[in-house]
Amino acid sequence: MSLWVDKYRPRRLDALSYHAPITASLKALASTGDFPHLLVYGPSGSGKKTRVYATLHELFGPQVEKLKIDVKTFTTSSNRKLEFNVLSSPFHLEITPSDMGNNDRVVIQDLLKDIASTEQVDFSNSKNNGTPKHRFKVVIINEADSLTRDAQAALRRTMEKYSANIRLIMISNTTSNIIPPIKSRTLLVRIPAPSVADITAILADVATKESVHFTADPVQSGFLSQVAANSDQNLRRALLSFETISMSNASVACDGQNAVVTLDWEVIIKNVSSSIYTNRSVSNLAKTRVVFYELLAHCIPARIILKGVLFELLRLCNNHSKAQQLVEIGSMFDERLSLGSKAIFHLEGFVAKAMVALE
Amino acid sequence: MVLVTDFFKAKKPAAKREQPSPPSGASAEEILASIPDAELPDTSDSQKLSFFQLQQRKAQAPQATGSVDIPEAKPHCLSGLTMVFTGVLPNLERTDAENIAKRYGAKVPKSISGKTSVVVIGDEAGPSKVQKIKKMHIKAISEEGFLQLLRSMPADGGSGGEAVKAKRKREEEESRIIQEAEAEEEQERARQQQAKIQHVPPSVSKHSSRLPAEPVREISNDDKLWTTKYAPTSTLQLCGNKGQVNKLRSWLLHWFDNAKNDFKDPGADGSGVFRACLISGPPGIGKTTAAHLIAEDLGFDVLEKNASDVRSKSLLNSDIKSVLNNTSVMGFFQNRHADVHQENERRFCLIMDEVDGMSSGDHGGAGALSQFCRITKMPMILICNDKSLPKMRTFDRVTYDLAFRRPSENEVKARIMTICHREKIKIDPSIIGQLVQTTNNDIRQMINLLSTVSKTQKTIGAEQSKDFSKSWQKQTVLKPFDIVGKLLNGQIYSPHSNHTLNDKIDLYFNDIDFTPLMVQENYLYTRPSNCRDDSDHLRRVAQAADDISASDRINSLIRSSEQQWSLLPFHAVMSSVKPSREVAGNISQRINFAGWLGQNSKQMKYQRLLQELQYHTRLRTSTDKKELRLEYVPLLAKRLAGPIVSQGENGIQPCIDVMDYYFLTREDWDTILDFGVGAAKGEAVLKKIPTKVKTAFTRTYNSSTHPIAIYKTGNSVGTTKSTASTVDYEDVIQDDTLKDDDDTEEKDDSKFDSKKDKLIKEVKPKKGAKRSKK
Repeated sequence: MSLWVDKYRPRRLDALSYHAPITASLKALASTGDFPHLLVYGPSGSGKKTRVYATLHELFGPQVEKLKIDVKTFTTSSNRKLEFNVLSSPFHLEITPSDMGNNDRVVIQDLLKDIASTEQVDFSNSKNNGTPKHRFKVVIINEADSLTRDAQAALRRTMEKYSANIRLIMISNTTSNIIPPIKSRTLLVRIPAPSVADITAILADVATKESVHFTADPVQSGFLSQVAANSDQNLRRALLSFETISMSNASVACDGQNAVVTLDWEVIIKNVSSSIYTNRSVSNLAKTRVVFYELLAHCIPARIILKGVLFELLRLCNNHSKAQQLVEIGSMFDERLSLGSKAIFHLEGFVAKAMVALE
Repeated sequence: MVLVTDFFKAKKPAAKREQPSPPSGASAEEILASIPDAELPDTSDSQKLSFFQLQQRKAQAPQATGSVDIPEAKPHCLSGLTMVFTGVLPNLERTDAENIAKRYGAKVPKSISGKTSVVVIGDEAGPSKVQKIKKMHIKAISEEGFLQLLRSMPADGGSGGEAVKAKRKREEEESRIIQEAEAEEEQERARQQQAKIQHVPPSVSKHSSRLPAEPVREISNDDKLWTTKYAPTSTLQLCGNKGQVNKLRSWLLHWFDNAKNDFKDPGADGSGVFRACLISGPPGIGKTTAAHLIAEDLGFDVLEKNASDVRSKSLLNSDIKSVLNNTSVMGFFQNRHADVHQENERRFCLIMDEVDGMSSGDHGGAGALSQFCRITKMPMILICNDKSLPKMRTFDRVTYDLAFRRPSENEVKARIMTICHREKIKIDPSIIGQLVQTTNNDIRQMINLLSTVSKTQKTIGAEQSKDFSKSWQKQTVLKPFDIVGKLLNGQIYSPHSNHTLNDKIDLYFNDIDFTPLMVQENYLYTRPSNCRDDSDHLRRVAQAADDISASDRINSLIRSSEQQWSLLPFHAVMSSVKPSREVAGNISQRINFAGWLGQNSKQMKYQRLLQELQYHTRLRTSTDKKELRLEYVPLLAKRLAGPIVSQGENGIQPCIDVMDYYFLTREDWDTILDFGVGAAKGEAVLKKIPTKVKTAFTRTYNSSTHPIAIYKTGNSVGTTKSTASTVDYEDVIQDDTLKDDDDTEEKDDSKFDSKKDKLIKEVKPKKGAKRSKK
């Protein structure tokens, strides 16, 4: 029993359905002996990690799917013990240094050096499958864009010095936070978001495999493309919401209304935005603070909240000059959010300013 | 009233003529009559003003400029008069004016009564006071009149009846103080005499030959600190808290009678059921002194422990517990001269000073102590400053609560005067009031201050009072609530206030961590003064919110790796002063404690849970934490709870299948539901599931084995669960003091048990390690 999004994830490069040129070049890279360091970037839900794992499969064979999670203990300079989870197969490791917050440098330094200074000794895969043996291990670094400067600096030399033993695959949403020296040492692979047509095709495929019952032909009536369009070109989201829709009805009605899935937190953001728009008063500001605290506590990122409220206000507001003002305010507080540390201060500041602008 | 005013008006020219040379024997009444009446504001419209409106009007009223020459008056010229000041005087600060009046011997109560001889009235006087003046026909004068009064009153308040009475009273008091001082000195001399006799090397006596005579170093009285030199030697000399002191005495006196009753009989004042008592109160008011005096008075030997001793649970158990049912043998070693001593009568009294000072170093000390309070076989007196602290709650039921209050000026006065007399310092009685005020009724500090001043000056007159009051000012650190109260109510921003920007920044520096948070919490709940309408209010709030948000940027510069602490004053302005200036006004509700802290820790908790969830599901999903929460969790919650909600017990198995696929534990199931907000809120969903189904779910889950994603390698002791379940025993009170005997008997069993446990614990990680190696 699993969610469709995980059930129908392609495991091989051949099974990937869209961005064929990228797939082809990945395949070419994997077949040669010198696989470069990669920096894979693109919006979430575009299939970065799926491609990376498919490439690993191509490199090392099916054994990369034998995953396990280890807990490693690190000691910081201030002698604090930190626990850190590492996902690994015999041929690769996957780490998320940003889990450690400011201590990610320690992880990079200790763990990478540790792996890098030992050679790969298990060549079992090469004998069996005849694929060219690779003497290196692959280290996947998740959320590379949230690595601190220190950690990135620690990576620089490691990447060159130990390139005989390790290859890095860094995965991030943007390259803007990554320092130029790292960019220059890696091959940049951009995975763009899939087009609505791509998503629709995948949804249709899943629908037939799961034998979802529709009231009308889903492709013909444009229902699936509506679901795809509502997902912001995020394939994961599209699949998850498609499953949500088909879960709640035994037989899915193919009207536009049904194609929209609003998640719990989106509903709240929508409600709070309309109350900000209609009731512009100090007492309402105090009420929004409570709502924001609730959302923040439940791990909804502040920038998502800010974006949600701003877009909702823009939708409600028809006046062009006011809309311009709103965007200006929004961008100012967005910057403060990323520079400051107390999210609620900035969200409240944004709402207060927006209320005044709407007056 | 109009008639009366007219009458005085008619007399006015005459009064002016008299002024240059007032008859030396004139009574206060005559001189008062010569001063023109102040105009009373019209209160006939009698419109009811709300408290807030009044506050606002007060804030707007012109503040005193303080630029007036105060005439030099004759000593004690106002004695016998009772003066009330009301409203804002044009040139003098009200408190200054009151101090002047006090200095010249007037009584200055806060409200008007029948005894009031004159009211000095300023602008914006309270309407109720004005009405009272009219009703009681009390003489009302303006500030000008007050100054004139000062100029014209003869020394000692003239020849009026009241003045004479006051003078006599003052003289009586002085002579009493002198008497007291002399009596004390007499006692002191006698004591020294006695000491000399005692320390004459004892002639051949039995035990002196064995015990080497301890050379007791005599410290001469001049070298002692004043606070020791003039420490009360009898309970009569204690200032204030007479009632509490008597309660303490009667409790201690009847302690052994109560012990015979097994502390069952509450007695007349309800103190009979307590084995221990807890004295609480601010520092420097004689709590410790009172406890010692009474204990010694009643013939107890005092055993004192204070914050200088380590008082952890184990040490208390080893040191104090053994003492609790002892009797003193001091009597056996006492010299024959001690005639108080009766055979075997001497008993212990344990004084635990500074109980609230039990810090983290004294692990479990408070709990152990409160245990002792239940079982002690000798009286225990605990002393603390603040009883309201959470860690003091453990003493709530087990101790007899005696709250000491700060002694009032009158209670302190005689004592201070006595000391001054003995030290041959001439002090103006009126200055004591000031001393009391500046030290916040702290007797110890008053004596210390006097001692410091006396090094250079032997006469302390009213003239120097102003210089002293500045230097005597106790530097108190304000509490966050007071800081925010001051910042947000508009008074410090009014143009007449003499608060500089630095003074306002200083408010922030009282507590640099809490002030910004508290301002942010409360700035929405004010009614700004001078605010035109709601939209103006909103604009001000928006500006304040903008500033607060900008200040967070500064804060992160300060706290980040850059550590730019020089930005603190700037942060003070942006985070606290400027926002509160925008919205300053009346605070419309109770000041809240900073909610950010609680919310932040809640957020951290959920972040941790989310991280764990991500680790568990990581083998199956390919997403990061953020996406997991935003996209996965809503659907997962539906998949995990939906079947159970709709199908009851039949839905359990499908849910467990999903959980197993994603390596989720039963705790993760709760976590995922907990992440829901709004309509999908975890509690709302859980309510839909009947308790029976819930328990069935837990049972089914526990009855089978489930795959686990994470195994710990490296260290073999403890899993994540065991570290999470370690309990902090700081506040847990264990009943171990009662069952000492049982413990020894059970020791063998417990050893066996622990071995068993160890084995179980050791097995687990091995299994895990093996599996992970596969």
